[in-house]
Amino acid sequence: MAALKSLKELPGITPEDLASLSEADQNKLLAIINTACRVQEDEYRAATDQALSHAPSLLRGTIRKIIVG
Amino acid sequence: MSDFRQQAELIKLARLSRCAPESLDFLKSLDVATLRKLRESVAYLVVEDHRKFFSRVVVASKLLPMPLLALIGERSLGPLLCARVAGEMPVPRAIDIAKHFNPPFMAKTALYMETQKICDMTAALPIARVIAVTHELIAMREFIILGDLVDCLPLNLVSKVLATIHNGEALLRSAFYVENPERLVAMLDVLTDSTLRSLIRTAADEKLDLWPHALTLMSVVPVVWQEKLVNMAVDDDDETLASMVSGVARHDLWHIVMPLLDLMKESGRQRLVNLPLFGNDKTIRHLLQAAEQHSLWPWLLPLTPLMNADLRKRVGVLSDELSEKAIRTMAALAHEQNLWAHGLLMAEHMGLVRRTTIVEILADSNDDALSALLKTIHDHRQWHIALPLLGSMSDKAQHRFVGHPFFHEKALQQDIIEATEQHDLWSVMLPLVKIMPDTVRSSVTRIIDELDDQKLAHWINGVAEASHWSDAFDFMLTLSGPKKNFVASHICERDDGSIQHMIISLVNADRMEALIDHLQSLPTATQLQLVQRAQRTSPELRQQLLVSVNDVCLDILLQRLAELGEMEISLFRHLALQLPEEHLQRIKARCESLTLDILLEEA
Repeated sequence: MAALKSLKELPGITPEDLASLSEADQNKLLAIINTACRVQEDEYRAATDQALSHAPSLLRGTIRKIIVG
Repeated sequence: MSDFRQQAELIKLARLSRCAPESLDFLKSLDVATLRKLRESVAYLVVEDHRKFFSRVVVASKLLPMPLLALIGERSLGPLLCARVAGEMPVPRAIDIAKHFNPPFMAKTALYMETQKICDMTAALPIARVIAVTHELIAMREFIILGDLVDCLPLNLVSKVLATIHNGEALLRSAFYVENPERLVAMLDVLTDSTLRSLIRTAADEKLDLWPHALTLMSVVPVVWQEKLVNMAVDDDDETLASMVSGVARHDLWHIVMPLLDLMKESGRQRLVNLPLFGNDKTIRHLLQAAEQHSLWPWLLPLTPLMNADLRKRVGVLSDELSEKAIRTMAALAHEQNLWAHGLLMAEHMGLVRRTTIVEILADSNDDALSALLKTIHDHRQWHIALPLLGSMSDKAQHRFVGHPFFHEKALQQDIIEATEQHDLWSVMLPLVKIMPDTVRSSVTRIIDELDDQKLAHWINGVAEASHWSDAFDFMLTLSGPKKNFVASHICERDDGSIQHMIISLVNADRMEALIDHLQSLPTATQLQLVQRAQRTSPELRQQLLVSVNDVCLDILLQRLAELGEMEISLFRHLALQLPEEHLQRIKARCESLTLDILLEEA
């Protein structure tokens, strides 16, 4: 997933919602959200690898292609 | 309370963002609704990009039977992927698969699911399974999701599950995350009194430190429940109460707990405020600072009459550390809400600077506030506190106070004199008597005149400072003859230093002639007694006395001197002969006129 470049990209959040935050705090929040997304992505990857480890090694690539795309 | 709701939201967001709650402190300027929106947005974001992947798994799963799918889920996919895949499945199918999961796996999976989805699924599961999963979540200490479930599951289901939970910590911690107060009430409704008591005991467990959670609960439920819970805490032992106070102080929760005090029985409030914990100045300082910061005076002031004398004194003394603004806020509130009965108890022990502020505010009272204040002082018999304050007001303010129609009431005048006598406040009272309207002054004088000898003696024994002697003397002149005589005789019994002090005060106040006039009105025996005592004052003072009085007064002095013993007459003669010639001649002339030989013998 591409990292958010701005909090404006957050679904359901308007600039007014975060208006009380300073620019520095908005940047801090953006960094925290991007980190959370990255960690979640790593967890998905690890969970997928773990799930595929149960499949026969010859089929793993095919299965990964079918479900991960 | 929004603080708690905000804290709960921040913890939820931190959990989702995989960071420590403290690292989100900078978001505290956001309100609870915005924080919730932010959390929902992040929750959507972490799933959204992978939704296509989860959907493909859902499609692939259609080919397999439920038990096998459950087996693959548990053994291969793991809780995170299962949760996300279930999120993309139609609910009935997800439920069918979930029925085959064991409770520990289901609990782990629930942690990653969207709240609404998990609620839909849980509601369709057999109750025994729901209870088992709940207890797994408790064992895993996953209280956020338990709070979410209380919020969104059907009430009948919540009730059944709650009835199986006897773990006070789990209940308190989960309740902290429940957003809907009505659900909290529903939660409380199904708990037995014994479980509720265990909640209080859990909160009181210092190791768990759960008073913030318990007070969150108490602060958001309706008054009826607040009252029940607060009084349950108060009815418990002192240890529980002490733990509550230390928990409140530790987390600075005074603003939450103080409004709840209104719901406590008075005996409970009294027990609470007199706990040994309040023997610690640090705790009192915390309380006062919170009162200043959160405007808690409406609750703090009514506690003052319930405090023991020592605590009240220390609260008064420590309130000196508050800002001037805080004192003014407190005093303004005491005015607005007619809380002076309590405010004065605190002011009694404040230092000079703070008392001056209080005095200034009292002096500026509008007419209605002044009437209410005087009535309060009278009703609560607080003249012993009010008189010193009144005594330090400006002349103008004092005139306004003592000129108030309230002072015409005999009962009030009697109370004032009683307080003056009991608390030895004559030095404050007499200057006020002097400026009272004539009718009030005569009435007050009559009351004082009726005091018994012991009380009058107590008064005159207490006169010490120069200005007090002058006021005392002026007042003595207004008493009836017998009382005047009694007071004069009693002055004679005071030590030499006091007599000298009195005479110096009266000389400085230019009241010598009045004194001698007064001497004239006294019985001869008392005159003699006074003149005899005056002989023990310093020679300079006696000389000053002799040169400053008029002829009439001098005659009385000389007549009484002549009645003294040989030794005293000799001392007088020695003193008189040292006077400047003109004064000596005057005394000689008066002696001749009175045919007294007290000077002539040696002249």
